[in-house]
Amino acid sequence: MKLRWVALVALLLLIFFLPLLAVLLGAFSPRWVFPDLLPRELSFRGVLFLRSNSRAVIRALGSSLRYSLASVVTAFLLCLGPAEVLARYRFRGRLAVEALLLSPVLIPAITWALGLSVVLIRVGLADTFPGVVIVLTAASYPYMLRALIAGFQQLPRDYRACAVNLGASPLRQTLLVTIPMLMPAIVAGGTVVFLVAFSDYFLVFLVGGGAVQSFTGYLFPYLSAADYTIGSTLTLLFLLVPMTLFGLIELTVGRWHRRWGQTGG
Amino acid sequence: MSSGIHRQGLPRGLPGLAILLRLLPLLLFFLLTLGGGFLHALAASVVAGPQTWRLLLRSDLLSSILLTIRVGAVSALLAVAVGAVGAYLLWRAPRWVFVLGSMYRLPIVLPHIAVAYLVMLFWARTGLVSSLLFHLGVMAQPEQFPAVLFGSSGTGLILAYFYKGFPFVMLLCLGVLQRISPGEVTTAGMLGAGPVRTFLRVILPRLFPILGQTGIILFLFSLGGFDIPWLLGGSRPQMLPVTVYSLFFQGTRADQAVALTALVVLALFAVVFAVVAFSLLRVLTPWEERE
Amino acid sequence: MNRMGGYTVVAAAVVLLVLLPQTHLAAAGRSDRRVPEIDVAELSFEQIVTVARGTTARIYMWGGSEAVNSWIDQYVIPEVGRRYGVTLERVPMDAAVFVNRLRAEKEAGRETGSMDLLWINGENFRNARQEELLWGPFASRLPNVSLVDPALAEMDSGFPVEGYSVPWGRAQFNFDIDTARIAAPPASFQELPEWVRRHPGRFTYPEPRDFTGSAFIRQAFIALSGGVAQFLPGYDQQLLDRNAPVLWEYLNEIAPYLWQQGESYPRDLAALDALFQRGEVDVTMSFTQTNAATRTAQGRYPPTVRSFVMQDGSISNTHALAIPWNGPNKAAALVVANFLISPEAQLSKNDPANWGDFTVLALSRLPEQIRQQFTALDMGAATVPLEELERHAVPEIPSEYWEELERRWEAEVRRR
Repeated sequence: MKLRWVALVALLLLIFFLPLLAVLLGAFSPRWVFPDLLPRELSFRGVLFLRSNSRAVIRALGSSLRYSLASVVTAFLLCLGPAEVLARYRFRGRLAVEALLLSPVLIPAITWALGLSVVLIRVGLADTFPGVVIVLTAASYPYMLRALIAGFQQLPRDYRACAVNLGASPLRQTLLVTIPMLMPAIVAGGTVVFLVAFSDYFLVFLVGGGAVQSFTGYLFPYLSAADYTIGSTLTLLFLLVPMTLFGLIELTVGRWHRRWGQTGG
Repeated sequence: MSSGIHRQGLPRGLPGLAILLRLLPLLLFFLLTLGGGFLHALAASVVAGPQTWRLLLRSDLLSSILLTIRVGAVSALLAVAVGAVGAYLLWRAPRWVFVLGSMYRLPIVLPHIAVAYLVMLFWARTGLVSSLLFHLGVMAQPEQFPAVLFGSSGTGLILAYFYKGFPFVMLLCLGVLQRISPGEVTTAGMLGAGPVRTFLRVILPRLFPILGQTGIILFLFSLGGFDIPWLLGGSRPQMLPVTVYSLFFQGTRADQAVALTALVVLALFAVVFAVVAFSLLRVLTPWEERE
Repeated sequence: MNRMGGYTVVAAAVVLLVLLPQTHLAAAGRSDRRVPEIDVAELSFEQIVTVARGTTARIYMWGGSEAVNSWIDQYVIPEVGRRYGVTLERVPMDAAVFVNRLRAEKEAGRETGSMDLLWINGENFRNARQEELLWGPFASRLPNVSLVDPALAEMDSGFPVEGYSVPWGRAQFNFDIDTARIAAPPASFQELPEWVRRHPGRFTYPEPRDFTGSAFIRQAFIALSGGVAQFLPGYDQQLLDRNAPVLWEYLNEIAPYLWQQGESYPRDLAALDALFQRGEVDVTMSFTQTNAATRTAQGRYPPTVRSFVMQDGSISNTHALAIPWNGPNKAAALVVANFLISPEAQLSKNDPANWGDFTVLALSRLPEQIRQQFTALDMGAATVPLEELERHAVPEIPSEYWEELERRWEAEVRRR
């Protein structure tokens, strides 16, 4: 009985931990050739590379972080109103509108992004930060919309009543009641939007044209040339960012949750 | 008085105009970005005329489309199957296994290019798997290892999309499973159903809608993915996004029109597929699981 | 109110995270990309240097070599910052792609683009010139141009330069092998098929869409069709039609013995390098004469790797810098271009420890001291001796041939 679970854990380690270990080894070896199962030499070229290129690395990371978070905020602002309407009101064409608005999840991004990149060049938004945020938001907002719709559906029907009773303005209602109660949904949707934006290479390259830096864009040449040492080092660094961010979210939101008591989700 | 205020706060029917106003920003955004981008491609392919559409039937483009669909379908099906079983196992596992098991989320955080890199590290002809087989005495030379990467089979691409996809399926399935009361499984067990039977009869119907939905999403996503095919794909046939990229950025004006036309076809295919697949899914979903 | 505390913390954290990198960036590149509307053409170089101070410029260039990227990042960017107060940003992009973008910008009438300086030559230069995507002529405005070997500055692969670009490096095609594995590499394109047959699966070349892959088939084309001289006068379609079938036959004949039986070709030079490094193929190629020397020094290649050239010809060409028609900061572009062809930068670039790219300067025009530094550079044990490189060098043929060969390869070899 117990053996079965040990086997499962072993399998999980094989699938998820071993690759990470290989990347770690790769980061500290100058080359890794067939048929060596372990690299033969030790090299600190990766670490030295990070040190001597720290400015460029930080700039690329910072830029990725910035446009990803901006995409989360943009998606949230765009989706809050529509999500409430779609979740809580019945009107003709509701299903069609919802399907239409969620469709970016189903339509491969390249089909509209290539055309959009040309449009953005025309209007002068290519190679700019807003341009990148626009294309990333367009590709990822449905996750936010879906999460918010689910969040609104789980709210009690008269969740606003108390605030209305107290005479709060719609803005205050939204800020003080709706958003806090939706927090689990916002975090869930925001996480996915962030991940889509942060790990994207192609869309940022297409619209940012390299003028808007990205960590994936910085990493890509090294992975593409299979420069194991530097590619592995940068991949490890890459993993740290979202993990730290999620750790932070878990901490802040977790604590905040306990204080508020469970709501909705 | 209080009831008056109360009624005011209730989300009863909202006037159409108010609904429209709230939907408008997102609708406009959608139309300007996706709509604009798609219309540009459509306009370019219409201007280029019917001979461009005929070019799509050129054998290399056709085989590139077929490969893309095969890679997407196989990887999505694998991801759904393995993801469902994986989620079920984790859900039934003791707490310590479950906690350790949360490392399954790793590929969700990894960008596609890094997943492609991992696949390269392990599955190249001279990669770690091949090296291991060498030490086990199964093969003597890297040439004996099958062309997982860069080959015409697209196996490396399937592996990459699968590795990126199935944790996603697990995540969503666990979300559903955690709403099932353990009592149901216990009941099934008392009625004499083994774990496999319980999975098939009790769990799978519950997971069916989410599995269907994620399967469709994963499939359609991989049709348009560029990062993984660029790093792992072969040259004959090429994955469609790579072909489109080369035609668009390195080709002549006529090539660009072909590229955009291919995109129009791909988008239309995605829409038709999604409509059909979701309708089928609805029909096939057990009655009690429908929303 | 107390309840609001938690939310405020989260909101503040989000806002901070969004804003922080922005302030960091603003501090790093405290500069306006738009340079005041001054007609640079009217200014002296000293005035241009003054205008460029405190501004930002972007250089768009091929990003496939770590050595090249590092040289730009660790030497050029700090130096132009220190000397001229110019913040230089390196943007990795293939030349065909940025030419395409420039074309789209031109069609859209976008007067202020985002590229300041381009690394461009060959077919991309010709296309960009013919479609008037470049700004110029500017070469004569750079003081350091007087040190450049004039023979290199006139033509770019058969197309007149007319001052629309300035050469900044001299490259020659060569191959790398590991002598620990391969004793005798093929000595010529004539011998290559036999060698490939004896080493099945151990040789391949990048798709010709890639710059180096294109050079490989071009070189084979020249060697197989009886020498380079006939192609130099200018593009001649009939000459191409007459000679190309031999090339396709040659390439298709070796295809079954190539890596993956010729079913697949490495996407670009970086992909071929990766195969070579892992030991999946025995030969890689490069347009940097000291590629093997640099990589053995880094530990990426074992110390037994050596470079070699084919006796029936090794293409030697120059790469150049140009400024796009809508470059937003032409003053800084000129300053950076002038720095890149300065003796100090050329010497640093020529050092195999950095990049190993050969200089375009005429040594006879340099002061004695720096000339000695150039001749004292150690090219590394792996590099082909300079005399041998020069003996086998063949000039570049008109770039119309490149484009035609690349296009026809798709139909004649890939899709066959």
